[in-house]
Amino acid sequence: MFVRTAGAQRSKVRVRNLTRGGAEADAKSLLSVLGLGVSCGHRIAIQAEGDDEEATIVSLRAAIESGLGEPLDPARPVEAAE
Amino acid sequence: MSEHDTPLVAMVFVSHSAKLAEGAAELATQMAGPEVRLIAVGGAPDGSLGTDPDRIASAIRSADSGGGVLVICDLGSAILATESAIETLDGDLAARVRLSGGPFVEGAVIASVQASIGQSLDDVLHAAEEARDLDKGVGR
Repeated sequence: MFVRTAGAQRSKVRVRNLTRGGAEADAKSLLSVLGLGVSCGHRIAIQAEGDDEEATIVSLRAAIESGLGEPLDPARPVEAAE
Repeated sequence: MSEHDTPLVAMVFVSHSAKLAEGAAELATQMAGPEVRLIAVGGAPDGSLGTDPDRIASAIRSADSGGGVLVICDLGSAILATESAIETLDGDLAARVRLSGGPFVEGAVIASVQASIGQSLDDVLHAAEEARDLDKGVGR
């Protein structure tokens, strides 16, 4: 769902796993995103570049905060950080 | 999801086992959403383990909506059966069919997601092939 949300935007979208480190991934490639090894509780950074970059960040943030299509665990609130 | 100018690439999963093909399609639908056409073709004409070029050819015909079709095969003769199926298709359709020998489940899921965001047939094929390198974080 993350990749599909990113894929619906015109901007180039890059994502990094801040918790594990490592290289940036292309947010529109599932293989690339899976390679980040992001699991629950990790912190990630998303960077968008293009004419809809702000809307891109807003929609990805909303998708993550709503659980990416999976039920949210109330014991692990999503931590919003800039 | 967004409007697409061109039809999405469709997917056909060919396995010796009907259950395996259907399972791959079920998982890929869950990940890629309902917009991508996914068709599972598994088993021989009598329902035993095997492959059936005629059913593969009709699956490709019904899957295509103009954006092309990526066929992902499980093992050995599934490739041969798919190649024979492609030979029976009209030239226009055959020209927009690609065959992946990448890993069945990983390729099915990853390529279907890339198809769902409107990527081209060759990009979707590339994603299926690249799925060989997916690192699951264990065993390496």
